[in-house]
Amino acid sequence: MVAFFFPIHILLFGILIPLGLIAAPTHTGMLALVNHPLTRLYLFGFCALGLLHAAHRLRFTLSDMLRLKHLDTLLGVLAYGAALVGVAVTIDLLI
Amino acid sequence: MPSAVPRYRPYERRMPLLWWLQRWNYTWFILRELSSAFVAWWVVVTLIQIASILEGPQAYAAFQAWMAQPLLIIVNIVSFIFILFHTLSWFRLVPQAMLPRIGGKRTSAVMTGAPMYVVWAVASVVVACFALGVF
Repeated sequence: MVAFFFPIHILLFGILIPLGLIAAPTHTGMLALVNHPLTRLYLFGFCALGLLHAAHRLRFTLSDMLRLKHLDTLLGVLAYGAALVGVAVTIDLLI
Repeated sequence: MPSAVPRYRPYERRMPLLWWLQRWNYTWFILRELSSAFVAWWVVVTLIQIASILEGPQAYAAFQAWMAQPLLIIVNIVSFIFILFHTLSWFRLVPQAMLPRIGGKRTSAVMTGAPMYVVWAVASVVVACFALGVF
């Protein structure tokens, strides 16, 4: 999910549109798009899976990289906790 | 009488804090994993984007003005590079880990890897068309 869908989102909304290389989509169009149930399902997957992916990897990377094995549980709680908060925000926005 | 078997603490090799700078392989691995921080960042941006679209035209315009700041564009270019690295290294890894056999014959790495690039391209085009209102 992250590998397939994140690059195009960043390229479009993070680089090309802010630089003015592509005309920004209108609010009416974006609202219609976001209001479609399938788009919402897609966005939910995009955000929820992205968050869990990041939480899982960051937890183990920090613990390996900085030798924080003894803080493993704390890191896990922080990472997954933050991800769950993010998923809750996503659900709140989209439903 | 022999005394009780002494208890030993398991031997733990001390790792230097910067062990991941000792070899390129380690550094690449850590950089690849750190790309997930940019994934998290981008989920946050997407959530703000959705919230601003749902709030109304003014909030959406404010979101776009916020995204157009030079600092954010730089952060996003760095994010893009990291996530591209993540994607490409994943696509390179899968054919090495997964060797499906068709009719008892091992498929080549190209056979396993190529479809992913195709799916990636199609997914990107579809998302872009929807986002830019082509459909």
